[in-house]
Amino acid sequence: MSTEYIRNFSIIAHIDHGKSTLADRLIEMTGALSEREMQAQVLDNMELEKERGITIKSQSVRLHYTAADGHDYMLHLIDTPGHVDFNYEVSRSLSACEGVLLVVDATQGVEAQTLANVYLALDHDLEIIPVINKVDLPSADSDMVKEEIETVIGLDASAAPLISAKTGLGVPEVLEAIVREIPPPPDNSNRPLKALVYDSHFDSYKGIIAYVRIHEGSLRMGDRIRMMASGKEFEVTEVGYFGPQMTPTDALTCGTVGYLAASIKNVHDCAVGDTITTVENGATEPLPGYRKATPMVYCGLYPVDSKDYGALRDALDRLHLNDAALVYEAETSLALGFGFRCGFLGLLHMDVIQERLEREYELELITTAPSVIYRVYTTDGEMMEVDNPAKLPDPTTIERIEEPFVKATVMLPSDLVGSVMELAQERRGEYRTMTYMDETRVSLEYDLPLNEIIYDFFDKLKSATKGYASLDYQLTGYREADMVKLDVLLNGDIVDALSTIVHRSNAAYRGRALALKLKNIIPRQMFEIPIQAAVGNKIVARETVKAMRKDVLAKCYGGDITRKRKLLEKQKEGKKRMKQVGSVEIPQEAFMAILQDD
Amino acid sequence: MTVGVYVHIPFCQSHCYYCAFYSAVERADVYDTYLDALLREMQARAEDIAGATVDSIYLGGGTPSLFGSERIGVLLAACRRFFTVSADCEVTMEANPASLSVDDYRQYSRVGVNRLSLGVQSFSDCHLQRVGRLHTAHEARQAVRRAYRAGLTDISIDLMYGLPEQSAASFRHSLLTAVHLPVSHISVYGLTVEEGTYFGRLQEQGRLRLPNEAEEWKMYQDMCRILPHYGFERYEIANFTRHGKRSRHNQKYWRYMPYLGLGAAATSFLGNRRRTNVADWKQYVAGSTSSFSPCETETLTGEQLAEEYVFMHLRTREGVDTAAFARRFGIPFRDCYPPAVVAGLQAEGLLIQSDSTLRLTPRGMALANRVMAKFILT
Repeated sequence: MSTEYIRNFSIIAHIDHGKSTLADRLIEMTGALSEREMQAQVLDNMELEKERGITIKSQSVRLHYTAADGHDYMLHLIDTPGHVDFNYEVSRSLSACEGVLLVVDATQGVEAQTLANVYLALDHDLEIIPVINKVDLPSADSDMVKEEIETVIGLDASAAPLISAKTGLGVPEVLEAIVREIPPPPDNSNRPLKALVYDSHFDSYKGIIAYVRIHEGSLRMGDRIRMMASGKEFEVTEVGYFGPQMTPTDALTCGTVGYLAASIKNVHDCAVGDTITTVENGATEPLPGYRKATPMVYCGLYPVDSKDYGALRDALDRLHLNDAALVYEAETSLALGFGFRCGFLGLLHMDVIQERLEREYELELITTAPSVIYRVYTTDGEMMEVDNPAKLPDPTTIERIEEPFVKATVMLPSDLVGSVMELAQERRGEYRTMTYMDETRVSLEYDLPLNEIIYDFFDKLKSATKGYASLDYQLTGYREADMVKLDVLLNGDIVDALSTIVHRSNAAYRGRALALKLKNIIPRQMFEIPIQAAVGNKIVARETVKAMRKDVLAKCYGGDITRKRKLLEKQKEGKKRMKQVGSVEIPQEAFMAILQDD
Repeated sequence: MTVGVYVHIPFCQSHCYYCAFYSAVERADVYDTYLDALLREMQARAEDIAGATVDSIYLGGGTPSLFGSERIGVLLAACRRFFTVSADCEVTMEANPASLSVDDYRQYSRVGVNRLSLGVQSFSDCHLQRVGRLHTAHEARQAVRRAYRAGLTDISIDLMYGLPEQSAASFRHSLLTAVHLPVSHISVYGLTVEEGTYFGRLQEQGRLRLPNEAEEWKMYQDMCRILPHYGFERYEIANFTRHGKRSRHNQKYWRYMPYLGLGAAATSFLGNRRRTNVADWKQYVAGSTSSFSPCETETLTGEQLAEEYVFMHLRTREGVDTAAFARRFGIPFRDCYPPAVVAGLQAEGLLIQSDSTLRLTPRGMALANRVMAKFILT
């Protein structure tokens, strides 16, 4: 089959600009699902995605469309995550495409992540079709948005479809534009098989399901295949496409997108980014893989009940399968026992993983405060990367510490610039540039320590701008900084899992804030608990959790017993969620206290 | 086997601000209707306790004394007719300290009441007003003396601490007044603000000004210090008695013994079943004339029975007899609760083990919930 009538595309957008809604409309209008089967936002099928209204995992769907030119086209829509944390996933999805729809909200205009996504698409040499969404809203200003697209991004937006993904207005035009503007995949059907694994998931019956884009050759059931990176060989037991449900078919031809199952049991045998070829007459050179995602934020994940350690490891293995950006290795904490140090793309990624572990795998976890990776140069000339504050070497052996910096782009209404600048300054930011996108909106660039961003920067930014600012950031490099370890002592003992690395100038302030928060989080126990924050031997803050002397002693007669039992059960349940550290019982949330807003 | 009988008489002159018991303010002409329903339930459920001897009857409420001695007499006579009532049966009636004469008390005594529980709550007029009581401190003192003179010498009073704007000094005054009256039993409760009460609503609106923790702790300590000084033995977390006049009826609850509850909202505990009648006197009356009597029943699991047995016994001075536990449940106590649990609580100074019994220390009494939660199995 020729590739002439195949189109592979993604939709990219800033969060909430209507990416998933447009995907739903495309699916509906091409009849991939009957109306009855449509449930809002088909592609966001993770419970968590629907709840938060964000896309976390890429999904794919094959659509059949008869265009105005009378030809039948096979469209592959590869959904992408919208959040800044998941750029890496976006990048993976884009490698399976020849073009993208760039959705911009007619009421909001170009936002920080719009731009970040455009750069990714340009990196992949993709055709970009701007689409202006939500034109039906009273506050829509399509002309201004078109102008913004042209001046800020440099794309011709004069022919951009004006649509309402919600009502379906203009969506047929989008379908026509896809067929017209996006090039078909190159026809390499006569060459040996090269299929790029762009995602995967685990199925308990079929083993690993690899999501592939066939770049060269074709793939059919029964083929003997080889994973070019691992060298492992398998027999294909099923090939198919996403309709959007997994639909088995005989073969995947060149240029198409689909999945394969080959009884692959081991997660490591089918890495995302690997190229699959056939054992006989196979290709010799793999496709360019992916730049490995580099985790930027690390935290410790510990089971509340140490019996769950094995279950946590299995769950991380499973999640890692289709989330290559998640890294983890075993670690031990004096306070928390056995657990894992996990690396994430950002705070949202961390949040999502934690929630998936708790919901899908029913694990009760303690998460320690997130940390970035510091480069620590010791006096004997060595450099070590420290992602766990507890592992920071003795200050006397440290020559200097470098911390990661990012270039942060904030887009916001121009009248709010003052408060954002103030915030960036507070967070040790260095001003770079400010450009006007139009009369009312500016794009502000700062160099900021990543360490400051992963605290509550985004929340603070949102509140300083009433939610009007958007943020994107990219790692730019490392800079020397005067960092110190802030320890927390409970009852006189350092609790390693509560240590953080902070800038010396902030240490006292952070220490006081943290001690106060802990005071409010740690329930009163039978003895007084001093909470101290210390840098080295110097105590920078002290609070006390007073001893509990008396419970609420209610009367208890015949009719009260059931209720009393339920109260005690609840009390016991609450205790279970606490971690006994030394003689002190600490609730889960204490370990994240440093992140919480007052 | 002996069994207690609880009769709930839900009618009150007004709702007190803290009270979460089921009560209704009704005109006296419905009392006979309710009494008839009680008699019907008594007859219908007599078989539930057939073969057992009733050695305590408790008329609680609400305000049972609103019923008047005649109806109370009818009620107690019916008890003797339908149940096997022992000669020395304890018959307690709750009463409000307002407006009963010596003669009234004499009438109650005549129809069989031999123990009186007066809802005094405080001997300070301003706090009585603040909690919505209709009597004065003077009337409360008078009520105790009148009842005593009428021959009802077994008198218990209720006191509360931690009331809105109450000071430790004011509570101390109530304690000292109480011990100088001819009462043999005092129940002392810390105020717990319950949902659905007036205080509950005030608290939601942030308008309830409760004493701070330090002040409340002083009140608790005064209770622990003053009452024993005047000869009152703390035989249960919130109950004190002198001259050995414990409440036989209430001990049935704490010792996890059976009781039959009659009337709206009354709870029965027989075998491993707990049954609570509907908390609505009209529905209750309607149910008593049909084959369907609205109630909630709970069948307790072995674990729940064991838990309740332990935490209820822990409330008492004598504590849990682990040998008796083993006899009742057919399993050694240590197989149910690992020795480490007990040892931990002992190390914390909350629990004492001597021979086969486990008791709360004074410190353990103050932190009773903490200890009890450790004995929850599920």
